Amino acid sequence: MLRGNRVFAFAMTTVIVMLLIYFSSQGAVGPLEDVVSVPLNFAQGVIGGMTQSISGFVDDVANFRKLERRNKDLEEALAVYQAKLAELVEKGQDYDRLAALLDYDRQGPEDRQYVTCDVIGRDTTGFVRAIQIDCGRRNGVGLLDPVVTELGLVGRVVKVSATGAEVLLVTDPTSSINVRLQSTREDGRVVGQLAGDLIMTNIPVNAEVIEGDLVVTNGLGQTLPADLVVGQVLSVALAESELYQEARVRSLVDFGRLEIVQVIINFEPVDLSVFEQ
Amino acid sequence: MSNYFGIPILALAAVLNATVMAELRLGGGAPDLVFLLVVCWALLMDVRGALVWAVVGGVMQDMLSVAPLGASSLGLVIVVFAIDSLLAPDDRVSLVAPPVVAAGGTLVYHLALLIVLRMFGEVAVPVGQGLYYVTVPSMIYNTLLILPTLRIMAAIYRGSQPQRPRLE
Repeated sequence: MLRGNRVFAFAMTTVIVMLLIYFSSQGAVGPLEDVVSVPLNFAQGVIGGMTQSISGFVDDVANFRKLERRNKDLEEALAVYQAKLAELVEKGQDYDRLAALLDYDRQGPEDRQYVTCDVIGRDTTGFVRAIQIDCGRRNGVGLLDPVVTELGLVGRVVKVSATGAEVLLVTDPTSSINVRLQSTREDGRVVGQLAGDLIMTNIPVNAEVIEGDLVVTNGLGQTLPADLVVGQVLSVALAESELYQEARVRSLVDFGRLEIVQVIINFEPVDLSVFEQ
Repeated sequence: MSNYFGIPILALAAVLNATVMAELRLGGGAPDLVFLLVVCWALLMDVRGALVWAVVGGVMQDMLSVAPLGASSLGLVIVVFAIDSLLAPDDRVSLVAPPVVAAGGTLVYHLALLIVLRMFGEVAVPVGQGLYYVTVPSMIYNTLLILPTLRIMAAIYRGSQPQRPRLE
């Protein structure tokens, strides 16, 4: 091809691609994405399932000793937690009775409706910490639905098609969640890091932060239900500005090995925009 | 060879990127099969075919990502044009040029992707962190994998050409 023709082809392609980006970011090509994503999601589900089985087997073999030790530790921890659980069940029953007396209308875990989904892939860009799941609008999944596992919060749905959805993980640098420390009730915000860590920030300077304390969602802003476990405090330090404290938080969820997640499909955020007018 | 034959290959590569390659992540970076296929095609074939592969491959990639459709295509199109403009046809299949192209191309591709994500995807990834955690590992993987991929693609290309009858 002649040089002039090549430059023309490049310029035309660039223009087409820029238009595609613009229309896609405006949501104008959603129906097309829905159609194309069906076979891609299917292929992704098949290949992703096989990959996870193989990878899980290789990991298990490689970590056999570690798993054995961890199993022993977990058994010991389980014994401790069972005693605590019995105590908490008692307290829970007291709470239910008192809440009923107060007619306390608040959505608890037992009111939540879940859809269980397989993880079928991870975001291809690398810059975004996100996973793809095999549940979509047909399963009742909607935009911004919270996604959890039994170990705590995973993220929120940011893109949804008929048969699949993309979940932005809490470890993504753009993720920001209102949280509180479970024992001291101090509020803060957990933000993700590209390295995969979580940082709890905006903790008041004089607040007591206990290492090992659980970090849970506080429900402020109504973007997520309250009391979802986000992680555990690893360490704490004063922020660079010295205006607040920052804590390193370790999620109990292993984001690299996520296979099954649950989407809470009946959480409806309160529309606060009316108060902003 | 028809450019359309690349569509299923690129779709498969995008699915493999989201599944198998994601298991090989070093930091945030992983081998990028779509990028490697498009670069190999640009090194082996004409610019028009490579541009089609860049657009289709990028769109397939973005179907499995938070990024808006076309975000990956833009970076790939720029890389294809750079290969076509800067490399003479004879240099493209040497032992040195493909790894250099893979390393430089990964950087250009990721920078373009970061800019599009910031402008249209409402995803403000910190550029420094992004380059450190994602681009550098991807660059290493892509540089190591470009020569084997180029060989496989060259074999496929040769195999798809009609055989000429020999004169006895």
